[in-house]
Amino acid sequence: MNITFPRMGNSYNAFAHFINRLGHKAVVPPPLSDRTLSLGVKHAPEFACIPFKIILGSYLEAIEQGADIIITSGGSGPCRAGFYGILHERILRSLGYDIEVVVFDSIYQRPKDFFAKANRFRRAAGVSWPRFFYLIWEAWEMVKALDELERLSLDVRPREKSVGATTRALDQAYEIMAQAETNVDIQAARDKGLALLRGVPLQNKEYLLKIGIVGEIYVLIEPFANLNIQEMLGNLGVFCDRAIYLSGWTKENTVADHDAALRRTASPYVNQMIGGHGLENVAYAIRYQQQGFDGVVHLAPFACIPEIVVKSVFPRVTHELDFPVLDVFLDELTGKAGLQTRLEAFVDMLAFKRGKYQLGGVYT
Amino acid sequence: MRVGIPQTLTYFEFYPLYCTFFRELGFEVVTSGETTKPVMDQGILYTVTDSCIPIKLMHGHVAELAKTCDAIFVPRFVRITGEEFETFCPKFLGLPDMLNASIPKLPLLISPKVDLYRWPRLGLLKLAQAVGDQLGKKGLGVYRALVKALRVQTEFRRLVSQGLLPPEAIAVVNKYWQEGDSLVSPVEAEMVRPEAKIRGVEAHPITLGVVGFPYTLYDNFINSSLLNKLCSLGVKTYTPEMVSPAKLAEQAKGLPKPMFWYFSNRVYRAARYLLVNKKIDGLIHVTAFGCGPDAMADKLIELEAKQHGFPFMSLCIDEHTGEAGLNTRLEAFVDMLQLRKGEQSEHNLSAHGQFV
Amino acid sequence: MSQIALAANLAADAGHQPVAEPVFLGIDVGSVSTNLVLINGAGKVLHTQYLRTYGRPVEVVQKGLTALTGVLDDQVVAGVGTTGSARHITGHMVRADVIKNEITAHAVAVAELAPDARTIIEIGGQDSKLIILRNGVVTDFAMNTVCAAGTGSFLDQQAFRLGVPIEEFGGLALRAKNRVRIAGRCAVFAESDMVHKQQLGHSLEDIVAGLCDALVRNYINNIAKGKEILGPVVFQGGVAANTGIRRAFEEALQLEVIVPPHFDVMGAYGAALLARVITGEGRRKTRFKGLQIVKSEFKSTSQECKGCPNLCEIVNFSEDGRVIARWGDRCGKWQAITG
Repeated sequence: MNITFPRMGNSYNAFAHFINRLGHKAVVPPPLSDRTLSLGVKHAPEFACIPFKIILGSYLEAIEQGADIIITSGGSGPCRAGFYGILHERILRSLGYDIEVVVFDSIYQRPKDFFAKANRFRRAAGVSWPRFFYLIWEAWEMVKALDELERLSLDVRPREKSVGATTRALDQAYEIMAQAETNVDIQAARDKGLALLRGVPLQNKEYLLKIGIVGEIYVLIEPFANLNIQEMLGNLGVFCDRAIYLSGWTKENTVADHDAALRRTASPYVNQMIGGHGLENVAYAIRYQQQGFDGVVHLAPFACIPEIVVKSVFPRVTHELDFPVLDVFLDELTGKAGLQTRLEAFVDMLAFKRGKYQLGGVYT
Repeated sequence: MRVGIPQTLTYFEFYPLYCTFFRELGFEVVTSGETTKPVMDQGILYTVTDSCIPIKLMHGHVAELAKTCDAIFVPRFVRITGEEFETFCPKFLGLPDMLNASIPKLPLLISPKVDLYRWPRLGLLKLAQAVGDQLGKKGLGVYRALVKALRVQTEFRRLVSQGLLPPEAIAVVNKYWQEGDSLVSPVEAEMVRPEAKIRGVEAHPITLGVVGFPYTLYDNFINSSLLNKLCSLGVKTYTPEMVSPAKLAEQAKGLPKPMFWYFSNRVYRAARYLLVNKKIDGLIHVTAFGCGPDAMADKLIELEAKQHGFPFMSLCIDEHTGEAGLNTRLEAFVDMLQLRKGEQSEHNLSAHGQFV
Repeated sequence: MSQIALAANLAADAGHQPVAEPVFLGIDVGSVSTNLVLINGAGKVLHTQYLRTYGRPVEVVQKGLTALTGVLDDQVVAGVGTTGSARHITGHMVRADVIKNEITAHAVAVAELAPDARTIIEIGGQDSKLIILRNGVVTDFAMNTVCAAGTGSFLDQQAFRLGVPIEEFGGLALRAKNRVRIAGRCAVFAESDMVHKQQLGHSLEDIVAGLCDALVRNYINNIAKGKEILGPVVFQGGVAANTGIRRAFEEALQLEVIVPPHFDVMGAYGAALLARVITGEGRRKTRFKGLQIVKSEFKSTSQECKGCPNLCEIVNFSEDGRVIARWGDRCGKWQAITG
């Protein structure tokens, strides 16, 4: 089987690793590009969100590379993402491609369905269940390692001496990771990557502005969708922290009753799970405020349903907590130059607020 | 005390229930009236640009009520069916939060959480109790009001199942409240009103399925009187509310899993029912500008219509749908269907000797 | 264009005699207009220029600088700041002391001219902004992102359609008796509604006033949504020349709206002020290359980097055949090699 999957952030390394180790052939979707986007925009409904369009375009490109089956995740709503797989399949078929989209819904909600689908890929590969689970675990280790590398890069970039050094080190670290086979290799690659990032020459900065990034998971994690906002902020000398990682970093590193705690934090503003990460994002923003961050950037796809609710309540959060939030709604027309201007102005504003404003000279 | 009920969103579905419940508790009940230009403008002012038009209208209606009411009833709709994952759209789920954050000087917002998935009857009782508590009403009176409200709601449903459009059935309910008539008697009389006649008679050249949310199909301001217009073009229309719940439920099989949104499932299933059973000559899907679920449902319905070989038109309703533009599109669609039908019948007559 | 005429008047007011004191230059290169402002050490405006960009930022900046040679002696330019959407390329070109986004530049300019202002409305050719100031510090801002319905180009288009010179727009609007309501969140819809109203026989004045109202309504509904607008309100940008728009804002906001002198070159003014600060009012040596760059030939070429799968498009910006800046690469390896 030539299997492809949605491309999101650095995770494609781990998915490809899992599929190849299983004995199938992974067709990694080509790096996302303007071509990907225009393919998606052409065939997707106008008011579908940008992740839907990018992923559709990316599937079409993977099919060109020989993919014949697509694996993706499902969901139970009410965010639209849980329904992507079904609609993607229907659109691809209406375009004449004989392709199947296998949607994995939550193992907790539909265990029978999950195992039936998993079994299909296991049997075709001829591996035992224990081996199958071992490989899943191994891939998960890689997801965690990749996220750890990315997290460290956010810390290093605002202090780097020469622009781009961190990005180069991170790309190199990903390359090393892509070569890894066994879990031992993965751990070694992780250590090497971390060392590379720690080796980036730094300059002394007495104060770094801190900005939290919250928002819809796909545009948060996939740099193509968010115009590389992490790098833009890092290059402006800002430390940024991202609320959501695929490996669920926040979940493991915060209190045990994670969901309940988030719900409590958000409850004065949003008092109901609204799908996606809507409620969570309100809570994350409030937490950033409590942790002394200077502001929050809120990323969402244009027409994203849960995030519109979030955007509607953020003015109240800003007002009551005196905590600036910059909403960035992304669609296929969003230009990098405009975003750059808004981010620079936001950073200036936060710096003024902090009283740390020294007209920093030339921004480049 | 005066309780306001916004005349949009679930109004077309549950107004008789709301109205009866609050009246029986002894409150004065007012609605925000039909959507008007000022109502819409207010709504646009209070909502974020990216919001969909129905939510903008809702904000406008609530702002209108805020001027005169002591309390506004905006329940937080989560689940009302036995499907675990059939909720309402996230904007319904977060509606009270959005209203609270966006409209200044709101009176008391009565916004109980409506989740009837597991224990529908018990859930309703608790719901009634919660609303009663918030308004200082206790004891049996609350339950009596609920029972009466459910009875009126059942009557309303019956009227709709007989072919009245929801606004027409609501008019019957209002008449009942104004004149103290029984709910049953005026109904049969109402059935012979001119529109019903036109809609019911067989001499129509064209029958159309017009599917969409009740709050876009029956809001004559925002859709520029779409249904009346079709009626005046001599078109017989079927809306989702005219398909019985049992028939709708059958159509769930069209998708590997249901969508997550109550109204969208109804729209999709109604469309599929009409297509599969060949009840219509063509299908119009009325979508709301900026509506997320519609973006998905519209594509599904389009593909469904294509597969069953029916002409399909998607009509997007937004804050400046020009009446002229709408007329042109509707007329062109109907003309096209008429031509097609003419050709087909000639063709069919000669080839097969019978209509499809 | 009225803006140009006005700017010319202002420039005439400021006088054209050569200046000998240290001066600071602000350059604001936007998509529609390019402005240059010269100030002295005390912040007084000595000279302004309002030019059309026509999509050729480098040429128009050279043109502006050429005009400056007639005004001053290049020895005394003690600091240069750039702003606007082409601030980076311009900054590289002249070697600016400070490159700032236009929000900050506008806010700095207003903080100097009207320190107690709490709201800035800025409407230019293709963009519009709202800046909320409290105690002279930006606390919130918003920009239009995609839509042009709240910008000057919307008015330009409609003026063209109506056959009215844009300079006469404001005066016409003020003479309106029954302003027509023109619907439309979007320029396209507004245009069709306007045509419809014309066909119904409304007077030109009423339609023009209706267009002003529509622009202001779009601005308030899109950009100012959810923002707390308090007076004093400062209105600037090219569109501020239009008295009809100013009145429409005053009526919509129920606040007095102040149009400052130099309203159409405030971004450049702010950039000049920033240059003054950054050079310690001329005490630190400027990085500015000098006015001789008007004779240099600047060129941008692009190439695709094949160093990794990202395939970044690298732009090489060169002066007289020598690369002075590169950008477009994610990893920064090209940016590092210049000169």
